[in-house]
Amino acid sequence: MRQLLQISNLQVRFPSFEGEASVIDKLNLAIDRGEKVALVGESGCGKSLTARIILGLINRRRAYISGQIRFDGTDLLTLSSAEWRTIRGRRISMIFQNPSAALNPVFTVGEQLATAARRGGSANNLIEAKALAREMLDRMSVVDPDRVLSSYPFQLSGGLNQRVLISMALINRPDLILADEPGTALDVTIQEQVLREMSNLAEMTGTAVLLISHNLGVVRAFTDRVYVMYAGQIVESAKTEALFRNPMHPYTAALFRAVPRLSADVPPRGIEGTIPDYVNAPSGCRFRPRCSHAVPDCGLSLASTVLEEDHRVRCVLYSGKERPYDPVDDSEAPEPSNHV
Amino acid sequence: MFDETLLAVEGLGKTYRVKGVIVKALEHVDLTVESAETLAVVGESGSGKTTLGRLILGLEPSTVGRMFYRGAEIGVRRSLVMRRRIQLVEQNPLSALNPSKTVEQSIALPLQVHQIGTSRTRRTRVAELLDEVELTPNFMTRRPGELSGGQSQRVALARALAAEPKLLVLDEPTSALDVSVQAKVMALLVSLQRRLRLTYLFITHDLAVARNLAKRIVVLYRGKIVEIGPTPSVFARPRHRYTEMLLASVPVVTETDAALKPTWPWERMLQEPEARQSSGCGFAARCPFVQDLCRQEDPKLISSPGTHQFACHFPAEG
Repeated sequence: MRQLLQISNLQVRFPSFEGEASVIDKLNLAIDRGEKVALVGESGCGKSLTARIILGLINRRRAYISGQIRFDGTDLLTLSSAEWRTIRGRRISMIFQNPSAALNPVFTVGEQLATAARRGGSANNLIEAKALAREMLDRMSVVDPDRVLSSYPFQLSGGLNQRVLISMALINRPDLILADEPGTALDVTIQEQVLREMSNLAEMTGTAVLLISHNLGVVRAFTDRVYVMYAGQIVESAKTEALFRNPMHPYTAALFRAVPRLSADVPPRGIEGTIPDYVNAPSGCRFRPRCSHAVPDCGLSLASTVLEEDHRVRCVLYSGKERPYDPVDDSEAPEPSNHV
Repeated sequence: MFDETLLAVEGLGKTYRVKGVIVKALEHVDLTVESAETLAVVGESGSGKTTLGRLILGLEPSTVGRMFYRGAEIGVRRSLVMRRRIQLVEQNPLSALNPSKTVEQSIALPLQVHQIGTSRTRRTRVAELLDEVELTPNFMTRRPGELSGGQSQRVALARALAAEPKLLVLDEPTSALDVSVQAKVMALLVSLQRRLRLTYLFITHDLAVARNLAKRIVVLYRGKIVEIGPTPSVFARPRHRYTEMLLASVPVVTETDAALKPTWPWERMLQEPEARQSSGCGFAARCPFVQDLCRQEDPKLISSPGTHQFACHFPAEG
């Protein structure tokens, strides 16, 4: 498999009244062709912003962006708007969380899908475009594609609108789709079906997926590899199976413990504290004010440590060879202190 | 301590008229809520969960059926005292709180309405209520815009507690929160229930949350109870196919939890047609196990010995 996207040392800062907010800090992320990769973290940690930056949707005059985003050989951060037009919607497309708001209310679903196909160069005329639109909906298991094509978004359920949006994102067989919480606005049963169909269709078109989600369970079911993000930093990355078997960073482990379990009849444990202020973000590891294992060295700048093949963790506890503690069985951990 | 029925609902139904079409939001719902227990109400959107909560709160009249609070019938017209007994906490705390009012004003409002205490003692009471939800008194002067999601939900909870209710209708109280915050609000709900002997009607779409909090569970589908019983029993042996599907779609993070999920034939799953059939089981249109009988006859709730009740002609093996 060949590398499709490589983000190196991405830094994003926004000027604000209080000072400069450093919202993405030295982010490194790579996606291979056809790979399904998750970017997981809590709200406000910079997941959606990362997707918007990849797609060039952030106004460069309002944000200081540095680093590199190499997509199939070109650096996306240096593209002109004309060059973007050959990439956006054709080679990289996006699926948004709220499907009903992402579709245009004044055009039928068929018109919107056909336009996407013609703009993307997948169809030469309207007849071809409509046929392609119908085929895509068919592949997303839409029962009555003709009725859906002639409907306006408000006439369709959330699940159907999301199927339309996924069809639209994949209609030009892009190399990469950025799926930002694609199932979050849907019922769990519908979410399961829609993500399953999206996953199958992406495999069929050979498209790589960056799934952005706060839901660890969804990530476990639908991706090959995971990046865990906290307050603008990647704290851990691994093959999905390895990460869920053996979460290493204290934040990843704490996040796991906070998920309600089907096997428990008591509530899970939460994480003390809140996401830090991005203007005066803690130096070094940003999780350290909330971390029950914090030591003074956590304030130092740290590169990620490679532990096993493809399992990286950015935490001083792992900079030595031996594992200092077992983050999974952490019931005896001291309460987090706020004075670190 | 013995179980005592706090609330009983008999044959409850609610129909709405939408553009001349009659929509049955709730049909023949019978259930009881025991004192100091948590009853979870689960189902997809449109299953009637919220309608059930609204009828119990007296926000809307039911079309048919009766409700009893400690044996006394209640309807929409309630005495001020009765209204204090049942309070609501909503899903979105930011829209539930008035953005122009301080936390103190929001929490003090029910105290004024129900004439609890004097204007002097109320400030102390608000501080006590904030303490109950693990917030410090300096939150009193803040407004909703200065609060995080978890903090707003705590304030909404403190406001509901101000009226000294017996029953809290919790309508998706943790759905809008991050998992780390959700876990802490869940723990708070458990500790409040123990300390204040509160009874919860916990409306949620998240089965794992229901599993962690509720002693008993009601599964609603299109306004009807399809399965009801003790939570461990329903989760260990779901009988209605809809419950089985709900359980199969729960995203889980461990192998242990994955092993607790039934397997579900997603590939054979039918998509819901727009038109709803008038007779038979409401789930027939989506159910991969559908047979002719399901389309003709509406299954009744039946008890299986030693477990719980369900309404399915061809149930999963128990």
